[in-house]
Amino acid sequence: MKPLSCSTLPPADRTLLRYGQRLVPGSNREEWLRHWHAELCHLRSRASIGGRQNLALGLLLDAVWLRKESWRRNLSGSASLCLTLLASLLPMAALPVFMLAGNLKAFAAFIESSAPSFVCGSLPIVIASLFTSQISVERRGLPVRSRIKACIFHVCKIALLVPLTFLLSFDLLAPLHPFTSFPAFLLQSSLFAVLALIALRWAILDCSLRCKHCLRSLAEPVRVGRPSRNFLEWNGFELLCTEGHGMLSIPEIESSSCSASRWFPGNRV
Amino acid sequence: MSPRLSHSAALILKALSLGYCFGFEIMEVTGLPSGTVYPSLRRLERDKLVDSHWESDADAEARGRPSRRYHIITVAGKAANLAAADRYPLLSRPLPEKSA
Repeated sequence: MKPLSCSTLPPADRTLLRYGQRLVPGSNREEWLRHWHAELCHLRSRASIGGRQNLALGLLLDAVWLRKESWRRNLSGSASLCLTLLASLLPMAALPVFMLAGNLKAFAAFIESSAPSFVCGSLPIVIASLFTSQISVERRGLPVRSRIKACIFHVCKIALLVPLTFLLSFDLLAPLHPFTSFPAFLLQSSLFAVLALIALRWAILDCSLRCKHCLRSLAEPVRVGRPSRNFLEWNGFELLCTEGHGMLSIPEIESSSCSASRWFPGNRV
Repeated sequence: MSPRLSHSAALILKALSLGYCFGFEIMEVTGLPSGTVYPSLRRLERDKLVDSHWESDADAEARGRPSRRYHIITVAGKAANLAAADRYPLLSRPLPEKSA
């Protein structure tokens, strides 16, 4: 690629390029500059359409689009996006309880009074769902750092999901509370158990379908083999990490040779 | 299945199918502003309906200008263009074909 030179452009265009490039992500910047240098040079040689102001909007919106796309690519399916979404749902789930309480002091009193039932209810649910989960992935050969990162992510997700389902169970039964206190408490506890079990099942399944290195959701599921329950045939699904870290192979039936999902790091795919 | 395109994206795709291959020409023939054309071209390229390539340095030097980036419609883009023609009847309004 030839080195880029803006010396042939008028100062206004050069200023536009200088400020516009700041919006563009580093990996696209050189190509973007080359593209817009050519477009602006072409504009100067033609007077048939638009004007510099018209092209300036295209230049800026093109740069903004590249930046937005880079954020979308980086965030889509990432662990941080998952945790951020769950964390942002927490205040939303707490809002109806807060409105029912009326003020901050009453809300704090409600949290304090609910804490024992929350702890007593959530601990057995978390333990039960972790021990009864049958989803397992062979993690041999994974670096310790990746394992620790995955572990922190699991813990954070569970730590967000349990209070979220607890608040949600309150929100759903909020209209019953002022009239039937004790039956509502029983109903709310049962609803909390059901919601928490569903949420934790989802959390465990979601964690097993993430890249073991970057914790991004795996994509492009591909079916391997014919849909069959034949023991001697190799059937299952394969999912890829979009960043190229590896591939997850999920067998359709358990066998002695392949009893669990297997993670193949990028260099072995 | 062809992706659902906005009217402006369909118009850009139609211009590309008629042989207009860079941003400026598309602005000229469709009458769309640059703020619509360039981000739409990026989106179409991301969705693999449009492909792009750079003019060779030798060709550009011979014409005394910097290399341009050309866009061409892909096979998937042609299918999307046909589907869009059904969805937007106004697209049948003829655009002038590019002279060679």
